[in-house]
Amino acid sequence: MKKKWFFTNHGYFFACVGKFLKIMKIFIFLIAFASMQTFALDNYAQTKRMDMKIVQSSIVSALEIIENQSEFFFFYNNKVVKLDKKVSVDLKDKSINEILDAVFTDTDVEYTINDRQIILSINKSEKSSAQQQRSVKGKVTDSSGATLPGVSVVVKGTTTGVITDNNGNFSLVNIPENASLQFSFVGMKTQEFTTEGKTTINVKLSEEAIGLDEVVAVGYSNKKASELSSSVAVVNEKALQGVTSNNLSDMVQGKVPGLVVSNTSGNPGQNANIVIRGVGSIGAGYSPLYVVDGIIGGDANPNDIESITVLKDAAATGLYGSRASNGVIIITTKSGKSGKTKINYSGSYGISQHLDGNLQMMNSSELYDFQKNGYQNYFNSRVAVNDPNFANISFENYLPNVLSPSRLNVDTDWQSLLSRTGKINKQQLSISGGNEKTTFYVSGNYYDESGTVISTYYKSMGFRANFKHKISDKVTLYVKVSGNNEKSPNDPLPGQEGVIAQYYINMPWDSPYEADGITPYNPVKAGSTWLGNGKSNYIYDREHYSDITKKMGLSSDLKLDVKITDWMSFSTSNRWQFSGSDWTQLLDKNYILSIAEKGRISQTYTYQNSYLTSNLFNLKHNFGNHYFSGVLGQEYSYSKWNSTGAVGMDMVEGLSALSSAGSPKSVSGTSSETGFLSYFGQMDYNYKGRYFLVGSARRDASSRFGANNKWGTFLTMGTSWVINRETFLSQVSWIDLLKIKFSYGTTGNANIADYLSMGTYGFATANTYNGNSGARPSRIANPDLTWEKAYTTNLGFEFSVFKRIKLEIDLYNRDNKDLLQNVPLSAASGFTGQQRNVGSVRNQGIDFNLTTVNLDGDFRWETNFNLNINKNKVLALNNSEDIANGSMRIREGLDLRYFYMREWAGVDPQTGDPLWVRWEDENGKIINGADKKDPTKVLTTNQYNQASNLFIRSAYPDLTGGIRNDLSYKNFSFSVLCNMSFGQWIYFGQRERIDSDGTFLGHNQMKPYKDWVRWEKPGDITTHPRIVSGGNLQSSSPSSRYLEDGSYFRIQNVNLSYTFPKVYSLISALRVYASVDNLALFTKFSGADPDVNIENPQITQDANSARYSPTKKILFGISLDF
Amino acid sequence: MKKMKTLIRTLYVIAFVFMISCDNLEYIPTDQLSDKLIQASPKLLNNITIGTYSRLRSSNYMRLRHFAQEAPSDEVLLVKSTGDNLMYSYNYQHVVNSSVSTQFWQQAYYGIYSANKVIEAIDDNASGEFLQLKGENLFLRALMHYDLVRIFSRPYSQSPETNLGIMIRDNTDVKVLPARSTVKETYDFIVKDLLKAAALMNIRKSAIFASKETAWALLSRVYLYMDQYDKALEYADKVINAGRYSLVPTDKYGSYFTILPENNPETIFAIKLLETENMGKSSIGAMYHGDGGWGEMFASPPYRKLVYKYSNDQRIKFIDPEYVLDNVGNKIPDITEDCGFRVVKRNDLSKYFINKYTREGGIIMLSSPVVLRLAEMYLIKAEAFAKTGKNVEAIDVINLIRKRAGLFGDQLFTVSDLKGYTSVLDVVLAERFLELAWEGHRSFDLFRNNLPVDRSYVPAQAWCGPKGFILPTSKSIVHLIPEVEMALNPKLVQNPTE
Repeated sequence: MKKKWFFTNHGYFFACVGKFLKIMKIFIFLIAFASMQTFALDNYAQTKRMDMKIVQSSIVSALEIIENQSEFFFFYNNKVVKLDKKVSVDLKDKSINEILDAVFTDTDVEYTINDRQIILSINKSEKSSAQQQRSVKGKVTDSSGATLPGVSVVVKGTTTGVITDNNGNFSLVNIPENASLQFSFVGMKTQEFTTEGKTTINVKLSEEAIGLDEVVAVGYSNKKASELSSSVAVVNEKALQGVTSNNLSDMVQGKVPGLVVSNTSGNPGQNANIVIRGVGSIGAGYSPLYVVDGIIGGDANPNDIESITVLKDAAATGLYGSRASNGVIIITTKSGKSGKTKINYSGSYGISQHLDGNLQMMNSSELYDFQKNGYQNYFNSRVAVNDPNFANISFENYLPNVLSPSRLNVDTDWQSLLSRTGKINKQQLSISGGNEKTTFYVSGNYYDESGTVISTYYKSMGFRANFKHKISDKVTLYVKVSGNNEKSPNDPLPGQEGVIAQYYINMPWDSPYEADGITPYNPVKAGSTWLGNGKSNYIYDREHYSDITKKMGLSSDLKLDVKITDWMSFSTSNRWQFSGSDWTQLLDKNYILSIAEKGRISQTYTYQNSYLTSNLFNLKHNFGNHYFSGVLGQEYSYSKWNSTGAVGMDMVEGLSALSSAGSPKSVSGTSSETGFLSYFGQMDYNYKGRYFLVGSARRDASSRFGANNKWGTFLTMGTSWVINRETFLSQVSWIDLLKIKFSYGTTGNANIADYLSMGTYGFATANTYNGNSGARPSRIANPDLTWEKAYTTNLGFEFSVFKRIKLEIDLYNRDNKDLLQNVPLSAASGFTGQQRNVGSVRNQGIDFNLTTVNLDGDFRWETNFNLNINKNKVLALNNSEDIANGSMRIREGLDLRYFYMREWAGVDPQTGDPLWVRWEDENGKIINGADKKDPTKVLTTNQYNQASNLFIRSAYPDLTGGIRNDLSYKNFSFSVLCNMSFGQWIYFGQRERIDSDGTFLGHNQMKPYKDWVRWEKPGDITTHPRIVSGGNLQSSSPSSRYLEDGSYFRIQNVNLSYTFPKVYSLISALRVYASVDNLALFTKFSGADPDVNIENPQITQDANSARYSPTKKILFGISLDF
Repeated sequence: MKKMKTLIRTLYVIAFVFMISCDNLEYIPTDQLSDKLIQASPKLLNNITIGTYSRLRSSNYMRLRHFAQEAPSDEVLLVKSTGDNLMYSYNYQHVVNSSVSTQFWQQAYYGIYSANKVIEAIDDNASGEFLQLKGENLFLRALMHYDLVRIFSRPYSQSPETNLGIMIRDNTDVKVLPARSTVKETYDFIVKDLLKAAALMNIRKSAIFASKETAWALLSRVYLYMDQYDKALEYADKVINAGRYSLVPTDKYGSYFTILPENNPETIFAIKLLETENMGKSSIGAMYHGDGGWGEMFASPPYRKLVYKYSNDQRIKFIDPEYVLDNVGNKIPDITEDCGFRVVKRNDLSKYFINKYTREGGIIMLSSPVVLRLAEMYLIKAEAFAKTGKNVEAIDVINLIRKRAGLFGDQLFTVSDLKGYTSVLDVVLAERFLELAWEGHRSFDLFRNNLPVDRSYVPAQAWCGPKGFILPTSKSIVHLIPEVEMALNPKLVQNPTE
């Protein structure tokens, strides 16, 4: 007996803990092993600051002070090096070099710093002077050929060194003949070259194998990755480079564990869904919060994005607390670097190809045979019951009346008729540069894609200008302006079957043209012989309508940084943002939807003005080994949305202005305001760079909530321990990072419509009668309405060894409580529902991220493998009542997205009838899953209405993830990105129409997929019932028959690029590449593509929502730096 | 000194920051008024009433109500199965989650809530203008209860004391949810409301709003359904004798539904749609007519047989066959067709479009559906006469309706010549069939008179409903209470299913 309505998952978290303990054991073993090793850590000497105050004391005592204050220790032979000289030094907050230089002034002592080890020796300048001295100069660039300013170039074993200038140039004089030069730069691998026989050394630095000390944009500040207590993921410029797409979701898909991208579409310009660590909200959305350049909201063209940071847990999202419960995506746009002005041009051009995956439609004769079979069975059944209408007629005479053989004369291939090879054209030009005071980055871009389904396209143009200017040592001004403009057609039109639906369902027996072969056929004309159910012929339609949306946006940021004291700075960030849209639909009088109106024009303009000001005090101070930093801030945002629309009738063809309409039909327009006000503070503390503690508190108010409950409080804390910095591990050189971190906190969600807490009557055009203004009750007040809150716990490990293997594991639990929901009310109350805070949903899971450098050197191979296992569960609902949601149902104890429908029990081998499961109670009465009762009997029935609606299964995937391989050899680089999802289920509702058993005679049918078998005679064990014209017992009505496993593995992107070694004087870098999106898909799913929206995984029978599957794109591109 | 300066500067910045934030975050919508404000203002009660009338014209009320009533009848033939849930009403395969029954049920109760708001707000001693408003709301409340009880409950003629009616809502208490009353209680409630509505309404409004006569007309029909023939007669006569209405003359009768309802002398109540509110492909008429619509629901063969019997019957004009034309544009004679000419076929079925819901004011697909009209009052009288043994009077009234339809001489009935009908009641019901086709009466007329709906004319390949006759005792003659509403009000009891 299956107890489908009852399901628990308590065991799951413990299972996670179990795995966690196993991992812990491995860690402990490694720590013990590592303790025996010797120690090395870079950069300590550069970053460590100390004080030194001695008056006429010995050098030895000065060295003791240093050893006590820091992790430095001295090696020297006290017989050779005499340290009893008395010196006086008074220095504050200085580096070790500065202090030692002062201490050893006027002595013959020389020192060499080797990380924390300082070796003292006697200066033998007399000897070295005998050696030949020489000069060396050169240029340092990164792997892409861009010059690198600020690289430290040091003669190994000495303190002699320089820093590269703005053009990456350096020159060293008077260095030994056979010196070894060490080139180091944050985020790059340190490299050594000998000067032997050379006067010029040009160096190309490559990125650090694994960026441990990457600076990460988190919250309102930037931090080193190694010092974070929270769970964040960074998609850096390098990882973004390979993607040729023009939207953000494609850029992050498969790269961040726990971030699931779904519902990618082939329709140009369509964005996919992004969900971070599962959905916890029922009525307030699941979209993460976007933060662009430190300010909530905003938008950035993918080409201008330098890095993307994904914040996942409470400690990370805490500062965006009030609106961060779905996670935060932080976008940092590119900025200029001082130095030579750099011009970059990049362009790509490519083609796209429509993909139908496993979904193939029938041609004319296949459909004829299919329907003939159906009519034969129908005929036989009528004869069997002695229907008098069938008494004196043979099937051969009957058939032509219902299925004329003349249909075979037409064989329209709608799939090839309505699709084409798409084209993609993407161009970008940017100029960046500046001097020490001012830097800038200015870019413009253009994108034009024509889709693989005819008439679909997307065009966009945008620009961005980022400026930074140092007004003085203390004051820096940032100005960032960006704008965009885009355009795409809409499809389908309401009430009409759109082109994508027609692609599948139109009948091969209908010709798109009149007999002349050119004039498009009007399926609704008088005397039409159109056979297709929807009477839709896109070839005709497209000449009689246009429906286009244009969007535009302008955003400007003004930020001022003021350094008030050494330990305090103030910054104010202000953004004004404008976004607007223009929707124009023109239908002429011959278009099916506007015949009655003699042509129709509809136009709607919307615009939104948003202002945001964020004002922060940044504090930073250290007391010995205690480092404090903090943020105190206030934020206020306001936005107002306006719309104006009008519809006119009686339009003369060729005109497109509202005022050219013969008569007005309707007007519409409204506005809506939202405001947020917040105060917050955050404190970071660390001791010796080993123990980190972070805490934040935030108070937020939103205009969306009830008068009693506008304010919410959000608290978070996080802590981490960098184990490898402990002394017992300090000798282990091969451990780069070993860290454990924990965080807990609350974040909020206010993602609902405005005014929902108020009781109101609405006035709208729909509420008028005979031209009089009318009001209908819209809502009951809920003055207590308040924030939805997420309580997130995160436990994470980071482990990096040999600078080649980096593993990150995070375990999390997020409970969303006080969910914002429209609680449905009985219609008897007079209202559809009321907005309330009820219910709770839990998400638990593991994020796993492994990066390895498998091969290094000329041939380099790096692999990133990430996966997420998320378990979702509804903990509480309003009065434990289920929420019905079409073919899904939300129930306590089950996953948020759970299929609830009739359960398919296969085909009756004797009759070929469809069968469904029926639950009965002890009295033989039907039980549905919603009844929360166990059945006494589980039967099957061939009567659809006698079958039970049951909880079938969760729609959510068990596992999602991605694998990325980057290979490079000399100037070639090659990357392959794959993503996958296992265990997700899709309701392929379109099959109700195109895989029916004779019910829908006006739709084309799909060819049987793989092992599908049609019932023909008693005894057949089959997947598909007997085909009967007119339908076989509602066999194609919604049931789990059409529920399919949507697991897939996809080769999402393959990219090959070549960087030209020889650089002409004009061109400083040249890279060419070829890229293929969607190269291959491995799935059992019978449809075109299983990557549907996992929050609503249904490809419905509704002709208007047929799916435009992701396409295969092949692009060639070039990137040029001048 | 320098520190002091820094401190002052800092304080200045802090003060600036806090000044920005003196917004109290209380914004007011621009297209909504607070419920407190609206209920306190008598003027705005009129807006609420308009809002309730607008509910009647909303697609989810008007269109769904229409097909829930009309699709089960023997007046229509669906050319093919459709994804529209009216399919379930058409083939008697009711489901608990049909959008037709769900949306209609919900819209009706939302409208009833609005009406109750106004009814509660106006005292019975208020001035005439407000009493009229209260009366209109009582009428609207009664109409919506009546529409609900027809669709979701068994006929009054079948043990109304025990069969379940619908939830009676006579107050605005959001929290108290009623159980279903019996059919009798529901009808009694409707009658009570209508009587009070008729008493309160003393301002004569056009046929697109409720007036005293509108309440009488609905009372007459409700009494007929309750088998209270004297009362049905009394109120039918009140309407007929009110002097407000007259039958559209024979020569204009064929264009009855193209006349604006306010200008139509026969219309007692219609739901008004302005030209700008034309619902085009989503209208009722779109189902019935291919000119601007889908044209998928045709006049049924039994109806055609009846109406084409006399070619001078003006009611033939409510059918627009889509003729097959020859090369010079002439119709092609075809004796197998009821209309005598070859008709375009789809799925082997002839396209006999229905035009009662299109071309109002000459505009394609525009229609203000008629709820009550004078001819029905005469037919109520005829039925009441027939059922009380007054055959002569009944036949006289029937002939009055037939004469208006252009019939004459031996096309009329006499008590001694029922032209094959076995009883005067049969004659009356046949005339109702002819006269009121597609106006939402037919299946109720049959079932309340204990007669079956004969669906044997539907070709089996487009039919998965019960074979042949749907008996008045069938459990499938009523729609099922929407599943979602069952879940939200545990007191609701579902209608039994087969």
